[in-house]
Amino acid sequence: MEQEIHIAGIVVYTQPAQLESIKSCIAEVPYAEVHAQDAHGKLVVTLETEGTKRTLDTMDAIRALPGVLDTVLVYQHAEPASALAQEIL
Amino acid sequence: MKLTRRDFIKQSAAVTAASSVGIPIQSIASNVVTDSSKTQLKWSKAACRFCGVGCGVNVGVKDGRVVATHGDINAEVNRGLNCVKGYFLSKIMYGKDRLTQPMLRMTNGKYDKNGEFTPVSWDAAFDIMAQKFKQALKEKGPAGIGMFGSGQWTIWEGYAAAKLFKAGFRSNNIDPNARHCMASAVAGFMRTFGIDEPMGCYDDIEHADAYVLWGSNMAEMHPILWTRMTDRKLSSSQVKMAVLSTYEHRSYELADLPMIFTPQTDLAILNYIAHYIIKNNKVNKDFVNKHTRFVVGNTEIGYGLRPDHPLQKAAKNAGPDAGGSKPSSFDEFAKFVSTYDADYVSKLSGVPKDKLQRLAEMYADPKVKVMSFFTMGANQHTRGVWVSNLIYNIHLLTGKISTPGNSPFSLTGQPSACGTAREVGTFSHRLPADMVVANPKHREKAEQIWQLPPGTIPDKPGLHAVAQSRALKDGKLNVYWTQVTNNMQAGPNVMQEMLPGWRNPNNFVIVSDVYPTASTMAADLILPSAMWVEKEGAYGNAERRTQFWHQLVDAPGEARSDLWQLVEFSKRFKMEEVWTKELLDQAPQWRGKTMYDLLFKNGVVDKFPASQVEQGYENHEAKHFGFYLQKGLFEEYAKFGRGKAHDLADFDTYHQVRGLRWPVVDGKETKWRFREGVDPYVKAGEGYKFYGHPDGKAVIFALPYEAPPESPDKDYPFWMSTGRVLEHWHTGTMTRRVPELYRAVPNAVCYMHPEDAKQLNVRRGDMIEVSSRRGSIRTRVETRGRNKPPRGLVFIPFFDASQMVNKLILDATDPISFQTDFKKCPVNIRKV
Repeated sequence: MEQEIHIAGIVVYTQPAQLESIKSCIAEVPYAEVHAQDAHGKLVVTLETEGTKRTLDTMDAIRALPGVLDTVLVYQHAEPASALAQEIL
Repeated sequence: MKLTRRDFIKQSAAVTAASSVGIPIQSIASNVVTDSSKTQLKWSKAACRFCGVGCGVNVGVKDGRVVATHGDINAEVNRGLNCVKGYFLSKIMYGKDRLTQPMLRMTNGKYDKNGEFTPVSWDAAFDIMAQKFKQALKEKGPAGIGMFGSGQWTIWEGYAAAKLFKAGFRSNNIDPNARHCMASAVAGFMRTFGIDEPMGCYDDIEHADAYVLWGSNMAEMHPILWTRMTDRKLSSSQVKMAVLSTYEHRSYELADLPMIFTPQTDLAILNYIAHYIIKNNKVNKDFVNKHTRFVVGNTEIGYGLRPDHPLQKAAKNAGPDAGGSKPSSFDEFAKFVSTYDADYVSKLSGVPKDKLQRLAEMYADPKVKVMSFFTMGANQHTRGVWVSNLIYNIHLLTGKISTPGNSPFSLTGQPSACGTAREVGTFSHRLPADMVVANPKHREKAEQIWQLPPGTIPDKPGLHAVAQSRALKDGKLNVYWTQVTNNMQAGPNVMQEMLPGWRNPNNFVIVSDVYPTASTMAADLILPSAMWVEKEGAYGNAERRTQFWHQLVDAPGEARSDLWQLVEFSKRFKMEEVWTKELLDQAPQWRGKTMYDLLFKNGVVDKFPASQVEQGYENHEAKHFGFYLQKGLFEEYAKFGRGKAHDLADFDTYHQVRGLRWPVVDGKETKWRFREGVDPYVKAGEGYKFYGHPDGKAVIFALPYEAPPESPDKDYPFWMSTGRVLEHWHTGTMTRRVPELYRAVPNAVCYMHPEDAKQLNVRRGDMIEVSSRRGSIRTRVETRGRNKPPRGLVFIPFFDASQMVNKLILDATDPISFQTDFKKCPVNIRKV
């Protein structure tokens, strides 16, 4: 079966005082990217992985960082890699 | 600049996540993510199919396949968020072993109870089913057939099944799996309020000052509500949380007041709180005088076992009087609960006195708005109905009810335990809209709406779930159809009471499901079902919210919706084969017709043409039957509740909105019932009215602590509790299809206290045998992890088909609700 790509959009709830250190930790996580943040300690993160388990493990890993209160899934997408490689612009 | 679909979808994921929490985001793609020609996705709304919270999701379809989902920002329940279970929504339909054609046990081309499963056509499947149904009807009458359904049925599926059995076959032997999860809550509501389902709604979360969890692990089981509670708690420092359970779980992480109690002693703790409120003069006397009355409930009611069981024989009020009561007074109630003082209850429950007092003070303090949540720990209890009643007692004594933030809240596990199993009346004693078969006026109303001659609906409750298993074993029930549920794994005492009945040579068992399960393997005929957005559907969540979705993709192979199966099967019966001559004499117009003509193609259910299906959506049933079946069924069903405090909006409205909380009167939903100004059924000047009872009053019950049927002893020294874990919802039928997840938590484990492990001379990962008086299973020791039992108690999740933990459990039930107790069973443990 063709390799799938899994894309997830998640929100990470943090203690605002630790936001910056958490951001730098997430930057070290492969497949993860921080897109936005707010003053209350919320981070918008996307994950791009090859499977469900990797995504969930990564969410768990972020959840386990000191100062992280919760990680919440918002968006999930899974398709064969070739379908996602299609150029549209 | 070149961009791929991947870039767009990633941007889309970020923008969607950001907007769900109100963060503005600059995006290269923000102007095109909604452009479906770029992403090639068609988005439609649906309700999540996993739990009773009822989150709204948007479902993305590409080339006839669901490839993406996200939390619906317009859904009030989850406001754009989704929990980790939502991750499996798009995967769940595409497991490799999906059932795609009917399979019959056969030898040499003929049905054989001991034969091998062989693919057959739908025609052949219905042929043998009809033959077996007709044979049972001939030999035993309507008592010889039965059906077991589900809180995962859509509203019209449950409704069609109930109508097929109660009106068509004239059998009340239909019961839902909600019997195992919600029956105690239902009976609790009916006894205290005379009407089912919570008076409040999820909006209470943002108003409450205190949350009390009674046997509920919301952090894992209801994550979106948990997120809302976390948000509230972090933003408002006065908000406190108390968590009570028989073992420590993830919800304890946020608890200000964590408590572990000895199984069954929740009854005593609740009476202690009532006593504390009275002793400290914190009773809301005006409220209690105007809106409540007191009764003493019958005691020594047994454990719902077979009548010849010694425990049943010893019980004074086992049998029909279990739910009885007699009038009482406030003074008598005060005296009754006064024996539940801190010393006695602390000793009995193992909860320290200071904690008990802090808990009681939360309820007693008139300034603190309290939400009490309860789920399976309270419901799956041989005194589950009493637990419900006692929780309502303390909210009623303090008047903390039906106002924002003051809310005793029964949570559900399944997506439509409320909307389908309870509201459409799929229980063996019920009819739609809280009516019951034993009430002649209720039968009359149902017969009138269903166009039946008087006397069609049998006047006695049929067999409930556990009684069905026993009747199968005893050969009294011979044909049994199960849809969307896996009772062979989720039910109690599998080896002694269930499997023998299913494999009884005189019986024929049909199981409709989407994947192979313990139940399909034990069946004689397997029917492949369509699931979730493979059909047009509707669910009702725990806050009375009714939600619809369209069919978005086709079901694989020959899989068909449960609705199609029920309706198509009804064509196989001439009315002369199911009704008596006397009944047909009263309604001669049905002579020579089929059950399909009577129940569905009857001028009412078939009155909306297929052309009314919203453009752009398929509807397999409308195409097949030639009319808008779902709309016809829903509009007929809605007649039961309109004007009776169960009002539903019209069918088309639900396809536009993100659900509405009933009663829906003049287009407006109801957030809080029983209170003037917000509930249209309470008149000006009444203040509150608990209109479920004729006198408009809620009932406060005097009910004692009574011991469980079995307690640990020398031979079986440990308590065992069972339940779900987040990653494996329900029996794992669906979530275990996702291979990555299966590898992550391959088998269930036995959570135990490290000191107990040490004493048993076992280590983490060791194989152990867990045995009860009924059987044994092998599993592995887990001393770490998210569930932390106290000494003397172990927890084994119930999702794993290779470790049928439920075969250890006694089929003891609550004697009023007939719901099984899965939470406390004495076991012995030894190293293998």
